[in-house]
Amino acid sequence: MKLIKVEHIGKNFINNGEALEVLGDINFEVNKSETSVILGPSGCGKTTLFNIIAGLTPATKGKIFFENEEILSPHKKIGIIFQETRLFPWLKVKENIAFGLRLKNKVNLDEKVSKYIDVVGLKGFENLYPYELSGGMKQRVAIARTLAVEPEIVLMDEPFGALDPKTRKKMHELVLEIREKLETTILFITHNIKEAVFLADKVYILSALPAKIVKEIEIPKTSRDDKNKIVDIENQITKIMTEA
Amino acid sequence: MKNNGQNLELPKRKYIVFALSGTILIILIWAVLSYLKIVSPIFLSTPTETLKNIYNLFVNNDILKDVFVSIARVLSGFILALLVGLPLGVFCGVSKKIEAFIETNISFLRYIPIAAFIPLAILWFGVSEIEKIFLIFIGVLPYVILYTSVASANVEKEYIEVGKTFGANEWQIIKKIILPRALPNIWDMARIEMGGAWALVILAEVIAANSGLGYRLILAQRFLHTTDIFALIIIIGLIGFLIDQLFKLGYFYLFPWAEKLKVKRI
Repeated sequence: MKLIKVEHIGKNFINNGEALEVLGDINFEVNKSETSVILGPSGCGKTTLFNIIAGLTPATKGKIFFENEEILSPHKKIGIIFQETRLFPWLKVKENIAFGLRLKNKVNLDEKVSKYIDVVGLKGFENLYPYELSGGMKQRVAIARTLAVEPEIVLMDEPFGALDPKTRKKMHELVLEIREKLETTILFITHNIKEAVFLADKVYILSALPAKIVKEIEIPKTSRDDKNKIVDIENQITKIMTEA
Repeated sequence: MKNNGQNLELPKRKYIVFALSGTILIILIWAVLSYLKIVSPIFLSTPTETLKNIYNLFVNNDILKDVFVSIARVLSGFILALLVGLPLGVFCGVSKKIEAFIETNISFLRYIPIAAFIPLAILWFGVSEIEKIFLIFIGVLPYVILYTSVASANVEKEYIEVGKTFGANEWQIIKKIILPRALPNIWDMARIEMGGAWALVILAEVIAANSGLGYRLILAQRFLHTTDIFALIIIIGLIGFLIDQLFKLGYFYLFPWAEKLKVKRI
């Protein structure tokens, strides 16, 4: 089942009267319960595409549909996780996680909050402020805050870009675990090939400006444990990206 | 700066040492001028005389009552200005239309010295509590609106976007994001404005009152009680200082997170 359909999305920025074409003609679909990864070099307009799907920036042309409903502004069913976590510094961990829940019906609020604190492994940290947390823990809170409202799909924009390799690895495992447990649909954006291959069911490779999808690669589930296969796929992607 | 702006950092203990040396220097100059009678006692009383008189004012002269009267006046006017100014300020901060409607006119009011309103206030309300509260109110209000508006408009758009992605409506964004994020800055603004309000109440009492610290000041001047004037000035200053410290303490306890955002504070 298709959750998100991206149709002929293009975006121009006007700079000093001159139009800069950032996104060419982007088309792809996100299937339910799959992890799709948009992979592209730095500065290729990934975040612009992310903002358009999130409903935060309008596209110049094309349309995006969420379950056949056109997206023109942020949609409650689409959960967003930003690279800079954007936790509310004035709220403690559990209140950050409860933020989205408090906006609507508050049934089982405490129960849900503690469920997602468990999911991201932050038990015992409920009453700390964001400034008391490490980068990885902050991102865990951000993930829990988004998951708590139980969105249909979670969009992540280079969420682990600022983390050290060890922490990043742990976060990757967390993402797989969440997928496994909650069957969350994920659209993940990154420039990191290893990250893309590790997390994805499907990788969409973007070209440099104006960005277009140059290749779609399926990552077979069984290959995750096959080191040689993984390296093969990574090399294949590297080749495509250098040629694109 | 010779050490790259690092001079903004100073260990707390050193800070207190520097602050105290400033105080001691002022007292020293005062002592030299008064004890050596370089300035006549009619114009400048000595530190010991002043200290004795402060004690005397509290024990024999019922100054505490006037202290409370002045504080009550300042608080009434101040809280009233906050009640009206905070919502208006937030609305100015989030809506250009409301900003245009209110702020231009408020800026005009800001440039009229509040002393200019005293005759009008007395004409309207007589020499009364309402007159004084009114003066503090219109003295403080423009600043409350202006600073609250700036603090609200400066809330990072990143946080507001997060609110939108969770489906927050405009009212929820104001209540749950703009207000809590701006509150520490508003608190600091209130602290600075409290100083202004405290000065205003003394001024209003000096000009027309029959109670309060300002009234006692003008009384002392009429009877040429120079030591009373000095004692009162120090009491007024100390109360102002204490209120300021309370605000700082409140900031520390209410917004422990704000300190860590490295916002430049006044």
